[in-house]
Amino acid sequence: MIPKEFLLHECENVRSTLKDVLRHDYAAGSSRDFYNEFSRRINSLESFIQPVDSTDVSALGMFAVELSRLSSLVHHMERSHAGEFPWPFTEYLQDLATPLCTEHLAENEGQPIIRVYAEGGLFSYQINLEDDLSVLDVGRRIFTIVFPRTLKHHVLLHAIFGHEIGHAAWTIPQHQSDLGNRVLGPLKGTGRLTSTSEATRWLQDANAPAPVVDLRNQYNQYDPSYSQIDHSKYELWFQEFMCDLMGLVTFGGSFLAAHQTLLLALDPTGYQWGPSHPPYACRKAMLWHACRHLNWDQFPATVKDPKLRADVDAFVGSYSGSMPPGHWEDVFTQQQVADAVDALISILNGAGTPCFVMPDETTLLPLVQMLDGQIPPCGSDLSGAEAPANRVVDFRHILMAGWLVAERANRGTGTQPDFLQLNKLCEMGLLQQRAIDLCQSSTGEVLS
Amino acid sequence: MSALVKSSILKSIADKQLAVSPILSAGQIGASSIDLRLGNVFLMVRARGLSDVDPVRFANADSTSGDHALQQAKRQKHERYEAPFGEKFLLHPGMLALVPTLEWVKLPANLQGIVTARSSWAREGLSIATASLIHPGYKGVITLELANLGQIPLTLYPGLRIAQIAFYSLTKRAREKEMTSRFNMAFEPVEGDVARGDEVFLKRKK
Repeated sequence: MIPKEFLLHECENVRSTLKDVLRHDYAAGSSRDFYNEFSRRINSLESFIQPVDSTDVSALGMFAVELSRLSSLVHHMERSHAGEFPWPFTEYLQDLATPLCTEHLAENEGQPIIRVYAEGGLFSYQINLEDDLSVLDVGRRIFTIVFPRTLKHHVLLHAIFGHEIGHAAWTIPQHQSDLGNRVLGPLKGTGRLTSTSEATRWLQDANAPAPVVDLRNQYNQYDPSYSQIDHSKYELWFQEFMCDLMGLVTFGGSFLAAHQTLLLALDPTGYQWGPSHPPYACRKAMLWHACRHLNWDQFPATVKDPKLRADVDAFVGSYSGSMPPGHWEDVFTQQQVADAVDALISILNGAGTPCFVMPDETTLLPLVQMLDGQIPPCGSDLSGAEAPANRVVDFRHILMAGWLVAERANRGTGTQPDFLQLNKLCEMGLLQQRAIDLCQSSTGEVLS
Repeated sequence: MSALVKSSILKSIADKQLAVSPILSAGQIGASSIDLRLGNVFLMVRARGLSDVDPVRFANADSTSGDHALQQAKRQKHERYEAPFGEKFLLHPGMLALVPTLEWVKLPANLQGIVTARSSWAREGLSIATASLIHPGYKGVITLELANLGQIPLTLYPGLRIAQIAFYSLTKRAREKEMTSRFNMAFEPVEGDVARGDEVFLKRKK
């Protein structure tokens, strides 16, 4: 079979698989959207391949790549049906990420189709808006959210998606320019990482912490470039810094906790670095500057309930990046981070993405008390009133309450449920809050 | 044992003895019951290649076939479906589906709950089967065993009020050790174990 014949044959295979996918109830609510969009793309690709000369290897090679991508997208739809991800969290995440990631769509462009599925692996968190639209006749782009399969119920860890929103925004040219100039500009402008050479000097500092020195010595024998920061590494590291700030301003305190839990699992020392990721210790120090700029470090002092105060103090103790000035990992000044955070918040406000607002005690305390009573935390009125006055609660405050209770395990106090149960309670709370939100935003006719 | 009227139910909630969360509207609280809404997970019993209910497979899980047989027996017979609010779920005639309530229920040691179908749905052929007794001390979602006894499909949506729970006070508080249940702290329906406690009758001969 010659390549052109095979590609046309494979078009038929992809079309047949697309039909097979309809056996499942995948991607609730948008099965028809998916089917129509992919039918359109397959037809389009087939019409491109048919007139191509069999000897035009360049065109055939390009179409083979497109076809393979299409096949992969269709297969992911098939996997979406298994429901290996938490719907309530996904819906809140969509609300948060969609405005920023679709703001640049052309006026006549259809809204993206949301595709959610799970992948194996602890670090498979991903959000992206299809940007490589290539040669196909694309009607609607695909907006993808990927969860790690084994962490299906771990909504507290899913706060790490705030970081992924940053990567998604970075793929959009308009945002990349804004984020690059206004957010990364202040971070690159002064301090220790103003250039690749300055950054390399910092990385090779003789007074760096012992794990850094050990790593340099270990790698210098066979990969000297490990301790040097070239242009690519420099830019990728800064993209990570931006994404961390995005995570913090979109998810708040729960991002700090999820970030630390997941990244230290990968690198328990906190000092390893790679071609695309700076050491966690630097990221933590930067995030704490941001918290201070946002006055979040003052929050514990506003809490009057002694038990909640103890929880908040413990949380801050675990996740703050407070350190003496001039420490090796403290690569940015307070002012640099403050300018970057202000710019980021301005960009998010412009896009209609709601930033995290620190809850007050009257919001947080009932949520923590519900968890203490092993009741899913949400704005449910438990007063026994004849006409319950349920409250709209920001889903990120539910996550924060969950992390405050989770933190008690580290202190060895209380009889809190284990981490999985705590996550499930919060996941249930998100579902119930979604129902409360629906009722609050309508006349109640939908559900009664 | 006596049934609680509305004012007593609300007082128990106000005293933090009883919890039903969330109650989304005043109309959900009846004269002597609280309506329960459909959650968003559906465990559908499906006839598949290896699905059956044979207690022997459960009871002999630790013999030659090991844990695999038990887990397979449990997992093979259900298909799990999760639907967000606004999505429908069809319950076909003759079909059995395990579904959770949207509400989290927490009972004190001196109350038990009885769950029944709401009459409006019962008239359409919806049966809420056997797990109608909720023991004192229970906390978690309540699993409803839905069966369609009619001849036409029933379209269900998460959030619909399909069941109701009435509360009965007990003559004495149940003892702590008697309030344990393997379904306690349930977040969604789980498969039962029909061999549990009866293993002596189910052992394979060697």
